[in-house]
Amino acid sequence: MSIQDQASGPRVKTTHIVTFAFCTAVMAILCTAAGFLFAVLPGLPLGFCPAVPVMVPFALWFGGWGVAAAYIGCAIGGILKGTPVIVALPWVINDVFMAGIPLLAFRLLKGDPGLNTRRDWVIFITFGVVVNSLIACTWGTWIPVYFGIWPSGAVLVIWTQYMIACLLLMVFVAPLILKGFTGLARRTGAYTEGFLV
Amino acid sequence: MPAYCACGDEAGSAVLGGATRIRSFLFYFSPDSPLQRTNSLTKMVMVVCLGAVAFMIENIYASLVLLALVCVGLAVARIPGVFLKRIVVAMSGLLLIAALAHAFFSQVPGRITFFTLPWGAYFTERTLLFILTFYSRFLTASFISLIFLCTTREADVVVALRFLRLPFVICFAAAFILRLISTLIDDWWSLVEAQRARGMVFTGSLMNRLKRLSELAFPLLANMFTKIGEVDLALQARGFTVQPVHRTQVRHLRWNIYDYILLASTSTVFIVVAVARYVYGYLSFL
Amino acid sequence: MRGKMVVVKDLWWRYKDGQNWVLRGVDLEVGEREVVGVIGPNGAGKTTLCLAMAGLIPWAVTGEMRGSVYIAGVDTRNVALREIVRRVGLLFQKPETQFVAMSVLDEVAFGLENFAYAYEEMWNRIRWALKVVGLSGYEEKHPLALSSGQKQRLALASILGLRPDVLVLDEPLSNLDGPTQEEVFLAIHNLKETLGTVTVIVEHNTEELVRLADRIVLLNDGKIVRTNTPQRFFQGVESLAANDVWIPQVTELGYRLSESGLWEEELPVTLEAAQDMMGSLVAGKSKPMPTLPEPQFLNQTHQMPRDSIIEIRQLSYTYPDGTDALCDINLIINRGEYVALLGQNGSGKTTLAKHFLGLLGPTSGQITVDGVNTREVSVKELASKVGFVFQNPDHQLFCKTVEEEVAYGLKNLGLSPEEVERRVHEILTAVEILGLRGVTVSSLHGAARQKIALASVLAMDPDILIVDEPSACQEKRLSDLLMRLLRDLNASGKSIILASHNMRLVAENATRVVVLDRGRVVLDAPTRVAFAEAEQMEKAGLKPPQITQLAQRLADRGFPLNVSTVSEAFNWVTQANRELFLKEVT
Repeated sequence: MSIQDQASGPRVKTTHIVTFAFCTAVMAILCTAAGFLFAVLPGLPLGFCPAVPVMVPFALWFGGWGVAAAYIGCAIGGILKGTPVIVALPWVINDVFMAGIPLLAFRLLKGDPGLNTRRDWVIFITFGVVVNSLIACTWGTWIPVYFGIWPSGAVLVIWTQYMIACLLLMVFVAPLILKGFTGLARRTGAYTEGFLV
Repeated sequence: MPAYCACGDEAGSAVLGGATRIRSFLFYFSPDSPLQRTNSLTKMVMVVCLGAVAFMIENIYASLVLLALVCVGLAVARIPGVFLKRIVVAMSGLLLIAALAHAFFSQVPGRITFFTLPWGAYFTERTLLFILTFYSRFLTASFISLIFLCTTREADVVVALRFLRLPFVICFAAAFILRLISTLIDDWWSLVEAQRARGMVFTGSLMNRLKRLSELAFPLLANMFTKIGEVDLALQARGFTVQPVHRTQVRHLRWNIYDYILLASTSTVFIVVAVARYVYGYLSFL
Repeated sequence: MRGKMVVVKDLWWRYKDGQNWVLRGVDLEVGEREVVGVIGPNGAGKTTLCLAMAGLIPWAVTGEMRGSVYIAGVDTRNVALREIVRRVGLLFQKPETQFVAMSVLDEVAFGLENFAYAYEEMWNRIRWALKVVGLSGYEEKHPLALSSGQKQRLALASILGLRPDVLVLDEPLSNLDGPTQEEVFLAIHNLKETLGTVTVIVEHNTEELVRLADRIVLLNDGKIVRTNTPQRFFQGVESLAANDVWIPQVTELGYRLSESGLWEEELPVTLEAAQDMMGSLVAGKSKPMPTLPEPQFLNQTHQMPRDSIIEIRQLSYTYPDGTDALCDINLIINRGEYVALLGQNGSGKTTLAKHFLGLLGPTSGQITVDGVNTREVSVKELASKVGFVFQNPDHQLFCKTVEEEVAYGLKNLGLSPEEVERRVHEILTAVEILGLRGVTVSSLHGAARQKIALASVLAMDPDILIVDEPSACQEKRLSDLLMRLLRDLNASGKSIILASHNMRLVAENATRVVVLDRGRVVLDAPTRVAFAEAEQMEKAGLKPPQITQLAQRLADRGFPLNVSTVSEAFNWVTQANRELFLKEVT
């Protein structure tokens, strides 16, 4: 431990703020990358948001900082894509669910983000792929109805599309990130097995 | 702001040049206009209030009037057409989804039915009107945001947050995030270029694209972890600490007559529209 | 310790996850008003030493420390970090790392705000700091919108605001072109002259360092190997070369002359001293000296291409924001040529290089690579012919192991597994990283990563290899390896295009130089001819190699202007002396 860590025990440190800022910025950029990577028509990424499989690892590694980064980063990403602020802020609460639910599950059930055991995988698939996607997609599909972006009759189709996109991203990309980077994340001062520190 | 275009290897190259020139999260530039002279807090209030007003108004005529007023605001702020075009292009996907969703799934009764769908949805002249109203509201709110983005420096955003007496750590984090986005966007496009130079293409099946995402996300994350360590040290080397210590500020929020005018008019419009809409039921969709 | 601002006493340091000691018993003292230069190969512990002097080790970095560091007589372990950093300003290797704000003003103010300086005092210090580094008037500019030299100066200004007693500068001149290095050098020199700030500078660029430093320290493998004044330091050339240190060209020349018996006094370390040395050597010899043969100046507009591999006709490129990056470029690069692209930062070198691979498409004009118009093929197809080594290897590496990384591009080209295996083995051997084959890429740092990035491109066996401002060129060992590889590739018929600020390497390797200035080709000539064009080079904001600068100073003594390497200068001097000796004898 550095002298500062020895002197004061677990507490919010500069590295938490820096990590949070980086995670937020990465989220914002990945949100805007959807149009580049997955668009079939201009600006039409069919629900594939590259930020989704990254926000869950951030939450599992950095706790509440990762969840906050998911929310703010995706809000900024939405604003960069032209979504009005007043729409973006309530809409991206779905990312809080997306990242927050697996965080809660892993902390309460004491799962390992490195996905080293079968139990970890079960927790991940249940809460990090299925449950969080269900709730996040539901929120993310109904809020735009309130703003008149699409009618309630279209919710099922759009929800299905979002759900498929989330499931594919979480199944094929997120585990690679968790397996590949959990070791590196553990070495940063911001890694936590709690919620904030 | 990157111009979003059709996916594909060649399209990527058309996007790259513009994206690598991004130097700022906000699109600030500085012609001399009254809006430039208002402070960032005033403009933030304007964005929130008028953005809310844009969505409270469901009446097409009122919405178009508000859009016209916002366009006047764009002209007063002397915002070039190219920014308008970019924001519209960026939103085009969402606008298209909205139009298609309304066209195929709404049930707005009207006098003329253009077509009916097997699942009970139908497209009438009022559906069309609803779509136009939605476009008007959405564009109004986006243009209001654009006014803010083009007339406010990032540094001023942070000044506003500090004026609100938010904890310094939050203000700093906000400033740093805005700062990082510019840097990481450059890094992102450098990554994309480096991978394209090794034969990576961004077309093909969905699985191929998912694979490409991993291959781009990995170095982005690896770079991020390296930089976190470096920046952490750099901040501490300049006396930064998250502990509550006394700090001073080099910039302060300045108020002038334009701030008071804008705040007064914005809040008046907000209150009037809110009352008209929710108390008296005016301004709803005809 | 009286009179010593910085005292490092028997310092040992090991990082938390490291097995080896990075610093092994370092003893260093820096007195008041002294400037000390620290040189050494990558991995020697220079940056770690900087962190220790700034108090970040052990306060903010985890590891094991033995020994002590004293700043103005106070042990850094016995005082809070904030107090140490108030007295010690640390400039990091990459200036962007330490930028936290979105304007020059806020950047310089950041440290002052953290220490609660009063408003008026803050503004006074900000104005002073910007004036010292020459950035007055830039207060509202975004840091990323500044040029490289300006960024470096801004980073310097941001630590000057606190008026530290000690400045620790980690490679302040890296990745900067000649004139920009001069700007930063002058700013540091200003500080030394006006404030007498104690300064420790880590640098690879020994030619500039000797002008600044009162003393130079060689750090290798965590230990101080040698320390002396610049003049005395560079007298032991062989041992310095064995420690992978760049020897100033004039010193190298002096060494070779002394080995051949033509020079018996101290070796020169500066241009002025070398000028005196050469003056002594040619004293009394009034006849003009024989000149080196001059190759023909190539005029591309009037010459038919000889087996050209890249043809550029009236190429212009404008960025989407309207900036004209390239203007009406006409250029032919022939098969097997070794061409250096030179120009100040922002002149268009990288933009032009990206056109060769199709990463950028011309706004107007045409570019053909190996007979194919780049507009008509995809980047993937061009990637089989053109290899591009980017400046930052971290942007290229993402696979799990070294082997996978090198094989990645080959798989994209659709080669058979046997061919992939063969090429991977071959290239890992050539780049000297065969032993790292199965190692995880993320666990490697520095030179190893640079080699992997290089290997991953070389494995694709491109006909044209573009190396864009490799940071490898700063460190001697890696630079020697890279240049040797490029020479071998060129000898086997590959065309090499090197964009670099290191004029010495360009002079020793490239046969042709294309100079860009504000998006236009202003000079296109064989290397020796180009470096002799002093006026053109200066207009383009370039400084030729030190040996050419020496030649320019001695032009009135008959020294040929087209000398561009130490070997050429040495050969010329010995030949000239032999001829005059024979003349005197007969």
